[in-house]
Amino acid sequence: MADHAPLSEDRIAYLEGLVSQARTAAAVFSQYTQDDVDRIVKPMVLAGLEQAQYLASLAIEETRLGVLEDKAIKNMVATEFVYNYVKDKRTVGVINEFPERGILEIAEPIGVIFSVLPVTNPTSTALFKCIMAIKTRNTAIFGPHPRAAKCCAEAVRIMYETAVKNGAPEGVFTCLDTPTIEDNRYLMHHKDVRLIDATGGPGAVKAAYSSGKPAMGVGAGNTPVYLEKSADVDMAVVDIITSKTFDNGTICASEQTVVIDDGIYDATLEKFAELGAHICNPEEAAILSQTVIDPETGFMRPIAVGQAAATIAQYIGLKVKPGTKLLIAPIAGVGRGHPLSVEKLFPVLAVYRARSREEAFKTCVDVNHLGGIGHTAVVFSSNEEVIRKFGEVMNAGRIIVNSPGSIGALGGVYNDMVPTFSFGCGTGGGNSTMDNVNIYHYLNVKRVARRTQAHMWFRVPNQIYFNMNAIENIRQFPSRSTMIITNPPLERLGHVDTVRRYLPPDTAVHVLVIPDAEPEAKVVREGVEALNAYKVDQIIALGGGSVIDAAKIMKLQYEAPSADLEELAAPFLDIRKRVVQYPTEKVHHARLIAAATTSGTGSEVTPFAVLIDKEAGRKITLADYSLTPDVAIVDPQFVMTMPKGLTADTGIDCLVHALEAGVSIHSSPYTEANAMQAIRLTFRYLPTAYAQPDNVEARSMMHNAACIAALAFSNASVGVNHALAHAFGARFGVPHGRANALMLPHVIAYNASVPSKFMPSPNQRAYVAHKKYALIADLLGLGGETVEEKVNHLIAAVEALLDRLDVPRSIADLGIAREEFQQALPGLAKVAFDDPSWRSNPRMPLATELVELFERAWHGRRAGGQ
Amino acid sequence: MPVDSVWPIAGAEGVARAFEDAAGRLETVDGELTFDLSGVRKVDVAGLRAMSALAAKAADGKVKIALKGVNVDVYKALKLVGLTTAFLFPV
Repeated sequence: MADHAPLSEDRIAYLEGLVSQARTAAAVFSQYTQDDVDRIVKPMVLAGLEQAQYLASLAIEETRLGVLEDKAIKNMVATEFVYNYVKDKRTVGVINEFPERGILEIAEPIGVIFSVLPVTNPTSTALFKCIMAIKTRNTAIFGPHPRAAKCCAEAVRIMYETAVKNGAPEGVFTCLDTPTIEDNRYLMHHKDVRLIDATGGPGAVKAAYSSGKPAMGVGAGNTPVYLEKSADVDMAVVDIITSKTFDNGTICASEQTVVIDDGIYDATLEKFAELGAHICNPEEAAILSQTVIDPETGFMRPIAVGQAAATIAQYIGLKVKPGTKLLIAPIAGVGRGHPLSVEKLFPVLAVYRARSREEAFKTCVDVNHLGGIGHTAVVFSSNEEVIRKFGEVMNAGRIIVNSPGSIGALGGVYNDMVPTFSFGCGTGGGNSTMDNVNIYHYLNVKRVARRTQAHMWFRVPNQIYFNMNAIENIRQFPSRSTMIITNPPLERLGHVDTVRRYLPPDTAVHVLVIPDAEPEAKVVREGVEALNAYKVDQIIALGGGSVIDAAKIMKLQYEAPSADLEELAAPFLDIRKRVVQYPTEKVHHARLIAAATTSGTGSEVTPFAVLIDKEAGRKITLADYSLTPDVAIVDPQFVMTMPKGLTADTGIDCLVHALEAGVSIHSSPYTEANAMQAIRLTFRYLPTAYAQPDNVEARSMMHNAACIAALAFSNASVGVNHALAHAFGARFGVPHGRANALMLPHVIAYNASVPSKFMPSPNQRAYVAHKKYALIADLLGLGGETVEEKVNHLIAAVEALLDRLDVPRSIADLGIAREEFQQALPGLAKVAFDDPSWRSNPRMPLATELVELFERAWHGRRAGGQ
Repeated sequence: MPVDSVWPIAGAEGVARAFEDAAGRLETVDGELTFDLSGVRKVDVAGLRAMSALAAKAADGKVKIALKGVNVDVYKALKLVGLTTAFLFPV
């Protein structure tokens, strides 16, 4: 290909005609069905098989490379073996279905492909690519190597005529008549050529990749072979000779340097000699390296490519036995100083004696990286460890084990790889693929992805005991050593004695009294020490959220001492896909029984725990279902003495849990049932529990409501109300329930209006928050005709409830100065936005909307005016 | 040829014939020329070439060419050769 002259107008018109014809054919082909295509492919394959020898003789005559018989076999592999692979494959319409994933894969043809054909394997590559193109409904313009133009044109003609006769569109294939580099360049840059498939020398491959078009360029190799001492030497020698002499070594996957373990080196060379190889002495090897390798470039001389060993020997003046199949030259290293260590597409093989396995591997790596990255490597060994390690260190798309490199790499003969005549060499070889190029590289695969319903869950403690004296149920749990964790006020109230009374008599009981505050890291550490000291098998957490949270974390660290709390607190979006997993291997096992003494947090059934690390000045929030207590005790006797303020605050917390879980994007029929019941109980019993603290029924029902609400939000999470309350409460030191109350009416109104931004939510088919609020209004019997009316009635009912609990109704009511609030506002919005609570809110809050919600909470009530 | 006359076409083979015929008589057409392709499941190479030739001949815009009843596979084939802008596709 020496022509660099600009293309003439006639030549451009010729090339444009080819592209136009191919484009029209591609458009027509796009309408074909799988049956249409398969009806064309089979006769093409049969025609190729029938003409295999004829095309081989044409190739030999024109290129003067290779061996007639081997070229005929290659033509047969390119047709029969490829057909065997493609015949049952779907390449039109739906080609794969994954119903369990809701995914369909649909084939889209590429269109016009410009395909470069090599001089070394011209007709077999042409046959192979014609079959691939038809099977995938593509059209192809072939650019053969100039020294193989005629045989390629004939192969393409046979394929074309058979294809059209059997229904393929006219113009489906064409072959350049007198190909030049300029032709290739023109076509590679043509707007209607959709893909370049360049099987050829480095120049063609580089041109393809430089065109800016999608391209598959597959190129040179330099196949190292490791002949390890455990190998079957007889088999290895036959395989290597078979492969290296196949078509006179023109397949670029053929063996180039054999690295032989010292212990079998001499015997291996003897076997090579016995089977027809000539082993060069140092002088002969020197002559060989100086003649078949160009000392200027360091590459093989084209004149030797595809020539027989005897021909080469004669050419360079080596005296060899008649019928010599292979010339073998020992080399002492790899690289420019050892000319025969490069690729040699003729039957000349370098051999290297390796004194150790390490040396053998390193030498193979050197050969692999001397122009053969990504291509092919071969290992002969019966040692699995050697084979695996060889696979790891070789950068080769095809690592052939105990079989011939060239024929092995073609696929389908010695192994189950995909049959091909184009070897992808990956990025190391400057290629877009490392595969054996096949029909799937000739397709755009579209994926139809159906909406899937994410798996949901409802995870709660194994056992929940409720109503007055439910604590009695702890007597059924056997324990040798039980730790009761509580706080000073509860101990003073005598609750510890109540619990102790119901433990089995043979249980050793220990009591750990911790401060009445959010648990600190130091407190948890001391608690774990106590658990270890008494080798406890049961923990009873008797308290509100803080005590139960502390007990959850102590249990975690007692059972899995290596648990890193900071790592476990890493953020996540979906608990099922979280990066950090909680420990499952445990050194101790302890049952956790949580007996709640407030009616709000629901910590006795939740998978959450909060820890304060004062030394580091931060709060660690843990969330995992493994933290959920094993047993929950919801016994109202422990809440009868709750102060009024605490009753109000915790009761509001319970209501917000239920309302937010109810409209959460993670809500389910399971959580909704619990949320609705908790809302109903709270509206009915919270005012009484607040006004009449001794009312057992009201206390009992509120205790149940808090637990039921927690069952809902443990599985559906909360929402933006909590994000706002967390930020505001932390900044101004306002109790959680009270902060929640300030936000609640505004958040309901906000969620009930049309969102400015929807939350991605595969489990919800429509925006339903406003309808759910209306449903709650119905459940509470609040009246109203329209959804809007019902939502307004719900807001009014919430405000009326808050009024009855005597909680501040606006931020202004808390006595916070307007100026201080305004200064804090940007920071509050930022902290609220960082809070994970809103990620299950039905509306995705914009930062400006968070500011607006805080402003509304400043001003206070919604229903009935200020 | 009267305005709005509709040429029904049956089968892939009929496409080339109809469009070649129309191209030969395009000068006599006034206004819009409509082909009914509802009987055409797919179009062949000859048909596409004839459609392309007629589109080129009518490129001056004096005659609008409308294709009725084109199925989506044929429409996509026209799209692939850049012919959808050359025709009207009445709903």
